[in-house]
Amino acid sequence: MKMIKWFVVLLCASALASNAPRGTVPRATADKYDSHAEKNGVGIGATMLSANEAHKAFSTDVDRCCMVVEVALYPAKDSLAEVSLGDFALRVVGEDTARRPSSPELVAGKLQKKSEPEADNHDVVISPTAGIGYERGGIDPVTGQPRRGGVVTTAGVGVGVGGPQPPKPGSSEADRRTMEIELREKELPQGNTSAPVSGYLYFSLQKKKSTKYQLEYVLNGNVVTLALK
Amino acid sequence: MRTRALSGIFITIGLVLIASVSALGQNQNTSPSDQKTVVSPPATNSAQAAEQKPSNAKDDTHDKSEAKSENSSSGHKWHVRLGTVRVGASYASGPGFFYAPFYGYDFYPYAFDPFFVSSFYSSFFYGPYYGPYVGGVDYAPDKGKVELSLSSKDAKTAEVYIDDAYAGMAKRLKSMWLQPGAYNLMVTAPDGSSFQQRIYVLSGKSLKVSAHLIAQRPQGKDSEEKQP
Repeated sequence: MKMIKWFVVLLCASALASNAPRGTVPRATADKYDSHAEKNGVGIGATMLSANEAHKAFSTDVDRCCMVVEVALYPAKDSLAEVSLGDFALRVVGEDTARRPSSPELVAGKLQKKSEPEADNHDVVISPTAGIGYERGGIDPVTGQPRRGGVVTTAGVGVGVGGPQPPKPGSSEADRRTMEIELREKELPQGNTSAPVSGYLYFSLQKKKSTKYQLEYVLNGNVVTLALK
Repeated sequence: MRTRALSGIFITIGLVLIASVSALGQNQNTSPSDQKTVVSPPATNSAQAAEQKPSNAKDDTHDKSEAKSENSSSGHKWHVRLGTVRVGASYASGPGFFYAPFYGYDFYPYAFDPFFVSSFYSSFFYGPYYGPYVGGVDYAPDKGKVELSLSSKDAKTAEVYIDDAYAGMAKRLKSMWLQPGAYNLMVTAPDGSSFQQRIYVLSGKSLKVSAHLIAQRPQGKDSEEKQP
C-alpha cells in the first residue's frame, strides 16, 4: 500500500516537472545573438543581459548578485549535443581565473533578504487633532440641570516620542522558493538534445562597466570563446 | 471664545514640547563626535617621529572613523515627523450624554467624538510606522501584486484563470494579490482568443502583465517578446 502511495506521488511530481517550462525559446539562428560561434557543426550564441534587460526578463532581482548570460546551443544536424553547466565558464578578459555558473538554489539563497530585528527609534511624531460638533442639549448628568446645546469645537496636539520600530521583514521561504523556481525554469536546460536549446546562466559576479568578459564553452575537449558585449 | 483660547493653549503646549524635544535631539547628535579626542605619544627622535607620522595619521583617521561609526551605529538620530492629522465632526443629543471635552480629560475629547478614540489609537501608535490599511479583501502584506492590463475591447468580457482555475472577470481583476509562487496566468475571451504567461509572484513586489489576446494561439505576444 505504501509503495502505491509513493508511486502516485512520484507520478504527480514527474507530471508537474514535465509541465514546467525549461529555458527560453531559442532564436532562429545562433547569429541572432550578440556573440556567436560554430564548431564541428554545433552553433552557439550568447548575449549578456544588462540590468534593465534582467529586470524585464525576471521577477527576481537577479542582477543584485549575478551576471546573467543567455546562451543558445544549436546541435549539428542528426546528432546529439550534451549540454552541461560544467562546460561553461565566464572569464574576465586578461585574468587567469574563470567563474562557473551558479545553481538556482545558490542564487536564490543569495538574493533572500534577511529580516532586520526590532530597533528603538527616537522619532517625535506629532498628531494634530481638531473636532467640531453640535450638541442639542439635555440634562447634565453631574448637576441634573437642563443644559443648553450648541456648537462645540476641540483641538489638540498629540506628541509621541520614541518607541520600538517594527522589525523589517525579509524575504519569506516562499519567496526564496519562488525565486529558485523562476531561475531554474529559465536556466539553460541540461542533458542530451538534438534540437536547439537556450536559457540563462547565472554567474556570481558583479558587473563592472569597464571590464570585458568572455564566455568559454568546452565542446568535445575544445574551448570555444565568445567575447560578450 | 473660551474654546478658542483653550485650543490656542493646547497648540502652544504642543509646539513647546516639539521644540524642546528637537533641541534635545540636536544636543545628543553632536555630543559623541565632540567628546572624541586623539592622543598621540611623544616622539623620541626625528627618525621615530618620521616613522610614526604616518601611523599617527592612520590612528587619527581610524579614531575619526570610529567616532563616525559610533555616531552612526548608535543610530539615535532624532526626527520630527508629522503624524496623522485628524479632523472630526459629531452630533450629540439627548439627556445623560457626557459632554466633557474640557473637564480635565487631557486635551483629547474622548467622550465627545465617538470615532475619535479608536482612530486616534490606531493612527498614533501604528499609523506612522505601518501605514494605513488600504486595498481590497485580497490584500495581505505577505502577498505580491499582479497588475493586469488588457485592451479596452478585451477587458469587458475576458476571463482570468490562474493555474487553470477560474479567478474572475478581467475587468474586476486589474489588481490581484497572490501568495508568493509561480503561476500559469491565462486570459481568455469568448471569441476564443487567449493569452497565457508564466508569472512569478514575490511578496511585496508588483508585477505588471500586459495581456494581448491572440486568436487560436496559447502563447501570448508578451512572453514571445521576453523569450525570443
